[in-house]
Amino acid sequence: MSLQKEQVHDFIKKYGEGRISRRQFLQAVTTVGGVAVAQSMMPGFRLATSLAQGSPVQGGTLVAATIDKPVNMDPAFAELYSSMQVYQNIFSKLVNLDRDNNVMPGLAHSWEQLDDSTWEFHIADNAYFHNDEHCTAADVVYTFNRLFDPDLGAPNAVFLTPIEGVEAVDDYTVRISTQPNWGGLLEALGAIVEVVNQKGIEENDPRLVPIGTGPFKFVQWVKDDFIELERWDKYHKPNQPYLDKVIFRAISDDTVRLTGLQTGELNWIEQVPLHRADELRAGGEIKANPDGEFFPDMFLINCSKPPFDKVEVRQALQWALHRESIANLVWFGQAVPSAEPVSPSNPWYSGMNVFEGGPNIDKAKALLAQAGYEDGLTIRYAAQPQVPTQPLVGQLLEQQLAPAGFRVEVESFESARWFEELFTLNYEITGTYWSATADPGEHCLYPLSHSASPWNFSAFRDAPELDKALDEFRFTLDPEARHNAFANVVRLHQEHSPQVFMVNFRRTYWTQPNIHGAQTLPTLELRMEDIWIDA
Amino acid sequence: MRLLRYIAGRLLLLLPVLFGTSVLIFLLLRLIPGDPAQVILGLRATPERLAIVRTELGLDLPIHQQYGQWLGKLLQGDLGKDFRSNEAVIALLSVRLPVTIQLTLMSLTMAVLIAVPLGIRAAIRPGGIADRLSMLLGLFGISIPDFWLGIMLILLFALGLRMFPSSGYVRLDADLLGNLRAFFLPALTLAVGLSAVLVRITRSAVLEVLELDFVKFLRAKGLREQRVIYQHVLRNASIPIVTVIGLQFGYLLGGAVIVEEVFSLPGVGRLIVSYTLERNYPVVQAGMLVVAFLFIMVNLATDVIYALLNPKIRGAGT
Repeated sequence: MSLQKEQVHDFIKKYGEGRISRRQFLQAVTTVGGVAVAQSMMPGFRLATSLAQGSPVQGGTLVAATIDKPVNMDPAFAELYSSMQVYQNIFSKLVNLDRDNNVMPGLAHSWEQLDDSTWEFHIADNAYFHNDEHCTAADVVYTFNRLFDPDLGAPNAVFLTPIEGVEAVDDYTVRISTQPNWGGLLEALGAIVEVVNQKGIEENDPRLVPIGTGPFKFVQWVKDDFIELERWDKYHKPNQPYLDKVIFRAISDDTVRLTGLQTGELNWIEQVPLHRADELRAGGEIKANPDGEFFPDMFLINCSKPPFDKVEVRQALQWALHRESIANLVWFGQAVPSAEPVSPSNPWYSGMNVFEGGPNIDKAKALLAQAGYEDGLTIRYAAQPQVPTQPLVGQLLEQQLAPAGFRVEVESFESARWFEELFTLNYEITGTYWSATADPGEHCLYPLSHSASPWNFSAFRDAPELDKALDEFRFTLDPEARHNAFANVVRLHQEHSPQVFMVNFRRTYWTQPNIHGAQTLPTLELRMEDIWIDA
Repeated sequence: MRLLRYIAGRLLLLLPVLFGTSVLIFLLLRLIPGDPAQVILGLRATPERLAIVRTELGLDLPIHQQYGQWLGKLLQGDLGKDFRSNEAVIALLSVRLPVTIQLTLMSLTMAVLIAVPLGIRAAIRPGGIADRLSMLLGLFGISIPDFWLGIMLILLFALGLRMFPSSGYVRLDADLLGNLRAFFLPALTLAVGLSAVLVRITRSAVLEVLELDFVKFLRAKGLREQRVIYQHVLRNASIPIVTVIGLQFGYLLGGAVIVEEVFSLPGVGRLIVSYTLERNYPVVQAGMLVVAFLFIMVNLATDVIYALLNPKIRGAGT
């Protein structure tokens, strides 16, 4: 081992053991010119942007306002994005993903792939759960066993099906066996699996009292009002988190949320009124933090019954769609048109678009005629009024699709009815969004489109070639081959169009100017451990 | 004694009314489409898991048995548990009821303080400044939607003048001043709409009484105008005013949803709406029943006030 490699290895070990801070680690690696070495030893390692934002300051309370209220603090249930936004600060994952989808240390300070189906993760020996239980490999094993327990029915288990076994090699080493060549393990661990503690799960109702090893400890939850978290002093990463306390509130009205930020009642908010985003960015009164197009918005199409059981009708819809108008009129330019789950700024972006040059009304009409709908057809678009963009998309669809021969009827369903429409396959076409840009093949196209997936709400099972392409993509380890396989999946998905991707919403977090370290991540986690407040 | 008998009679009537209300709430909730098990399981829903959850929640039982079980527990003081979080419904309601009651009391107080004096002044001098103001308030208050007015008040008083917080709730026992500041804008938002109705009612009721012969007699007797108005006219005009206040009180107990939403106040209205959307039966049933109970009690109080104002009503009630 070269001297440089030895030094970097030593830094990784010290960092993993908590003897040096993340910042010291990054500086040390940079000093010995070991970034490339670190990258080879820690897959996906990259210098964090926090280095460029000045020195973090300890202390302070951050009052954050999300849009929706959380409903369940048990990570196994992953119930509503609004719940995850909070509990992801309470639990740790084995690895984390940074803004560029690079895999960074989490609870595991390092990891290695032993062969094409075996991985070993070395977890920090200084991590403690918020009930003071020492975190060991046994907790990681328990976490996976719980997720795979059929009686629990954890929804996220669908993303982990290639995992064949999880075992503790010693107190701080976990071995994960997968089906051969599964390429999505690290992204799945970075996006989905929060490590829990058996005692913590069994002693309290985990839906109400979450106990993790994360940077913040749960203090109280006043339903419909706020959730209070406080700094966990035994957090395994030294000096982090910087904040003493985080208070999460849910304020549904964009204007009220913005006013709270402007008046100083709030320090961090999730979204401003979309039509004001550009003006506020230019104004400088509040701060728009590094953002990204991490939120694909799409149509789910019911392929199990007429008229969308015919691929020509689905393709006609694609040809008639004007994505730019939708991005501009519904999202006020705060979204990027894209025919795939990710936008050009994402490393996964394939650039594939078999409907390039659209909208093309002639092609749409011809396809409808081919499907037997020469005189056009009436379709039902199911919108959820509580998602404000959906009824607007419906109104635009009425206008956009009419020249091609689609007569769109917009129907509104509140959430319970919408779920019923979806699960009973009574709907024809509906809108939804999906936070899956960390690994769009694994976390979006596979669950929604593979014939064997329980999340295939389109009931699309007619394309063995798409199943094959998805399997090839999933079980490819080489990064370049995996990207090529993803492009092939995108092409086949577009040709069959069981879902239609419209735009990718530019997710921005807004803060007061003295708040640093906030950024939008592909996993859409609100990683409050990186945030600090200038005195 | 007659008054006490009157109140006892009304309280006895409460039992069949509450029973009828509970049946109605229970049935109506089950008539609307949407399956709680589906909402709870969301993306995890499979036919097998749906069946398990329905059994766990007792939704597979015949409806009369479901009602019987719920009523049995209710009579023992058990309001049930939130389907989703397993939290006791009583705990959920105990946090929200004080919020709603305080919001209701503050907005009604504001409305009465604005509308009653203005309505009286408007009736005393029809066509005068107070009358014109009352007409303006009536028009403005009725035609402006609550959510718009709320946001305008936030922009003016929270963002512009920085006098009040834009949203949020502060407990009364934690910080009295903070609590009053947090409630001021939402209460004012509601009060504007309430005073619009109240000012018109007060004006017409007072105007009607002012034209009666006994008022002319009192004036001819040489009684001071203030005494004529506030001691005699207002008392005689107060029945319709008390009726409207009573009705609005009841309405506000369950109906201030939009204002609670805009100002992020954790009140009962917001609770009932959000839990209805997810078909969380135990929470909605208990919430509705509590609101219905309070509504009935407010009506009872209104009737008692009638009886106090007009002794003839006591006789009619017994």
